[in-house]
Amino acid sequence: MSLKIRGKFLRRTDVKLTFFYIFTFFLSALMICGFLYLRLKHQLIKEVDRLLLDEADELSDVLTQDPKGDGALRNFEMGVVTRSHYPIYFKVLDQDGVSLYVSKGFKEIEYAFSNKIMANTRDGKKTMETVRSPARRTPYRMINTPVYRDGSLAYIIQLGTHLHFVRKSLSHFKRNILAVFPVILVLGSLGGWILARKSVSPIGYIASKTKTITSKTLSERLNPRGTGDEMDELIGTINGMIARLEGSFKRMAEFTADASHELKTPLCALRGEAELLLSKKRPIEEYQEGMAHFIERFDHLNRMVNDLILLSKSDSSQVELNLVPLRLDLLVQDIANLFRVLAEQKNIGLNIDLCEETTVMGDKMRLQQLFTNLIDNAVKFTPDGGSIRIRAERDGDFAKVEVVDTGMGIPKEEQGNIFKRFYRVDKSRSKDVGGVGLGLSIAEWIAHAHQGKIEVKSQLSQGSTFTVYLPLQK
Amino acid sequence: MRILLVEDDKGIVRFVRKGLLENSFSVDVASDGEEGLQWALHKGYHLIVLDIMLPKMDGREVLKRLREKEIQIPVIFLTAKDSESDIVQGLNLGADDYLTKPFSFNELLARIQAILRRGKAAPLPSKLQVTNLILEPDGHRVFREKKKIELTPKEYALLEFFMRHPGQIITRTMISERIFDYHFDTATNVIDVHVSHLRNKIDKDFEPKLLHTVKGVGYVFEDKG
Repeated sequence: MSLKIRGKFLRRTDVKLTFFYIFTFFLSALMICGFLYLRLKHQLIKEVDRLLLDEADELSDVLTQDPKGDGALRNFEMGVVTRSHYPIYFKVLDQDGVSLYVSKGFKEIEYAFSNKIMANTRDGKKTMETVRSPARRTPYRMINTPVYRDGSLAYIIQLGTHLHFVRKSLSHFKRNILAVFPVILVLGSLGGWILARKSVSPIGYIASKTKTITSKTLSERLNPRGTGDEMDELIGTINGMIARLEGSFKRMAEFTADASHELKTPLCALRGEAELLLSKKRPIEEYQEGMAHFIERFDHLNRMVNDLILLSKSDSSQVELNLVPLRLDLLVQDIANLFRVLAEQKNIGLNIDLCEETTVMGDKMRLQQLFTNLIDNAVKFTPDGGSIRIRAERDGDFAKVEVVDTGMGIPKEEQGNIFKRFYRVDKSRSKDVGGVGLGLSIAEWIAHAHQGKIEVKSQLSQGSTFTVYLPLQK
Repeated sequence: MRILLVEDDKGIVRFVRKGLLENSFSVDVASDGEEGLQWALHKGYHLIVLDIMLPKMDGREVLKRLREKEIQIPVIFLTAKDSESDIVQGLNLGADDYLTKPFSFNELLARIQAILRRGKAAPLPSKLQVTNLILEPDGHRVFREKKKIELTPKEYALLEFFMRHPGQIITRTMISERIFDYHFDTATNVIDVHVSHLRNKIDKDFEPKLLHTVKGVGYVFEDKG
């Protein structure tokens, strides 16, 4: 295995997780076993201590009942020293620590009488100790007890037994643990590996599946596992992203299709007309008329291309706005005055209601374009004899401009669509009045580019109200 | 009048050159920036029409070097870029005017004439007169056949603009920009309606007709009789 492959292997999330798992598992198993071992040791020694206490009590009774009788002590010694499992060895001292009686086997323990024991005993306390003589493997457990007569310290008993069986039990326990430990560790590691693989495997699925998704397969989705965990959440998030991509691809495709249709149709008509003009000799006036017509058509195409370029530039945020402080009320007033003649032609009343000075930071040309589109639409879609009202006022931090017409209105279900590119509410009618269905898209973009917004309210055959909000100059 | 056209697109060169020749200009054509700069430096031109996107050296660079050499020949930029910043940059470099492609030839011609006429503009006369139509700038009054004609302020401004450029084609764009301070090319016939209102007042009941439509382009104000 080369270093590179090993490096890659070690960087894998599941491998890292497994190692971490093994490490913590090992550590906690070690701690549990250690704790159990110490606990067991403590319990066993406590058991021995109880035994020693009983024996010390008995010896103490012997001493108090028959103070001078060595015979009674010897009897007691015979009874305890020869015990096969827990033989008791003891020593009796007077209140000054001078040895009075030593049982068989006590000397071998090499247990010294220390000042600490003396002090404890004088305070009436019992002292328990485990002693380990260098010569022997087996440690001893010792107890030092004061014995009172007539309320004063008379003797000190040192009494003990070996811990051979305790040691044996403990080493037994240790051996068992050492035997089981590798098995636990292997099982635990295996479990850790499986867990890690299981939690990481969706990532592999997500990665490989996402890799296969291209612009042509955007309808595909990742399958959630239905566990409702973070992985499912991630899959949901990625699916959402793919859905958004699919949506924008779809809009782009629609836009391209619409745009090419809108461009091709007039180009086709132009070519046809030119061919017809050239097909035979005609009076000069016919050529002149044809050429003048071409110029109009070209202007129309040019406007559309400009609109398309503007919109596609706006999609990639390439349009720079030339923002200057502008009197919005005057700008709206000027446009309204410019377009008043068109309204008058259709006998439409144009009321302008501009209450106060409103200054916004705006791009003059773009705002002219925005309000032209709105007012132009209002004039187009209001029948003869109707009326249009233009109102500008302040509304909080915004300048609010309303263009209210008494036109045919927009059906509720269409209102969400009118800002879409190339969207026309009434296809046949809109064709009559010109335009390609980009005006409102552009108006909306301009409003947004100025950190403002545009809203529409409309009722069928009652009219429509377009409201533009632009932030006031601070 | 000698004009230098620096443009690499053959189609545009063809119609601009033809159009200028037909309007009695003499025209030299350079097809890249370096050539254009050489010609501009060594021959006396009255005006340069300069494309921005050019091979070898772009139009802005050409203009910059011209102005560095203190050569103040008027320059009109032709540009496919219509973003404000490009236009502003071009004007800052010392261009006199700009046109965005696709442009109308008459628009170009009108702007060339406007620039060449500039500088020798006569002091404002106290009275403008074309045949029997008289405009008095002082009192904003207009008379035709000695009869006073009432005009709205915009109609007055429009008429004054026409009368200051008699015989010259005035495009709709020029009217919308100069008279209405309106910089957006609308699909509507709103300018035509304004002009027809003016025509109704000054031309309808009088002879000879002065305000003529140039189909597909704009208007010309003159006594054709």
